[in-house]
Amino acid sequence: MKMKNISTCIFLLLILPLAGKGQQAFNQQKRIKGPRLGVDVSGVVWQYMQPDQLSLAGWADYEIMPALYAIAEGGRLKVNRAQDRFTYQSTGYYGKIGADYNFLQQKLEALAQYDMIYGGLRFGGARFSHQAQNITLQNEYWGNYQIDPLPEYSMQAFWTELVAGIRVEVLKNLFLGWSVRGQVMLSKKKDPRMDTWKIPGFGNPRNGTSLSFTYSISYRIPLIKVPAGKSLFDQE
Amino acid sequence: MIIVVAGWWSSCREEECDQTMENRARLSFYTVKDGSQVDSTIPNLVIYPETRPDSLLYDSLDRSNVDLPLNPTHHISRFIFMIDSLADTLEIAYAREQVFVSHPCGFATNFQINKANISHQHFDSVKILNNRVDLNEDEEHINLYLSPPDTAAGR
Repeated sequence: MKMKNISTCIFLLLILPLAGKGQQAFNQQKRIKGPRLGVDVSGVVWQYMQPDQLSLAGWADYEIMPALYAIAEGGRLKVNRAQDRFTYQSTGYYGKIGADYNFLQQKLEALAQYDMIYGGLRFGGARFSHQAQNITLQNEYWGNYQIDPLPEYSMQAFWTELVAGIRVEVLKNLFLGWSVRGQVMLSKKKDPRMDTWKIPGFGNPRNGTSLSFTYSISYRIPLIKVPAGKSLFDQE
Repeated sequence: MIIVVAGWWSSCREEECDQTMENRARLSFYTVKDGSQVDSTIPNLVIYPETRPDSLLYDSLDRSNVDLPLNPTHHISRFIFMIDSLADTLEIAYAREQVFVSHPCGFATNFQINKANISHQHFDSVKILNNRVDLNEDEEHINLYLSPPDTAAGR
């Protein structure tokens, strides 16, 4: 029952950006430009399904050339899993830089049209640490016993991502969007004592690949208006 | 999109530990006959750890091999083998190593057997075949050789 409600909720979140369009004015002569700031709210959904992790993530992008957006992302992941066999805690940060290409905006004469169906690339890195406490080993015959906790151990990881997603201007300067990401690990420091449960910004590192999903709300700061079809650098 | 959501959904379900976390030392019984070893079965075998005579590991069973739980909080385990009301003591000395298995399964203790000694009521000698006792099943670790006259069911 609860599961069904959650999945309905997720489905609506996915569909929402596609609805409510239509009243966009396409007759503007200028194109609004400015940095767009977003927050990833999928962490809230995660929090709901897996209360033992807290994820905060945000990003900023800017259209540096027609249809091409430079983007920087960052976030934090905190995990506290208290289980029968051990308590696992980790904390860390990540950053990503890259670019998105908007396939809806191939023509330069695309005026005040900011919706995106995009593909992009990212390079990501994370610094994080983890530790384990209350380590209980189960033994049928001799009885359960505890071993020494594993103190904090710091690691870092680097990876690349392929991104695909949509981003829709639902109100003036306000965007909703989601993305799907395929991630491939490039290098990772491994703790010889214990596997990492989740790498901030990457996810489960088990196979060196990961599939992740984001849902974000963003706001474009309407800094300047440029002639349509020109980038900021083309001005003057 | 539905596939993505389904995949995402399944990826966030809690995993269960789906492997055995038991690691026991496997002993097999042999008799040396005319210079070659033959498999042997010991009838009515009773085994218990020296420290836990009230908690039998094997209670009057006919066995050609046994699996013994090494004590994970000690460096030495002694097991009493009762055969025809005569007791033999097997002493196994080992080093322990804590290893991470997986997030759902947690940690396990592996053993590295350094030394094994057997008393001589029924037994002749002991031999370590494989000194690593870990979560790999179906590994034989120790051979116990019966003294020829006491072999009950040697082939």
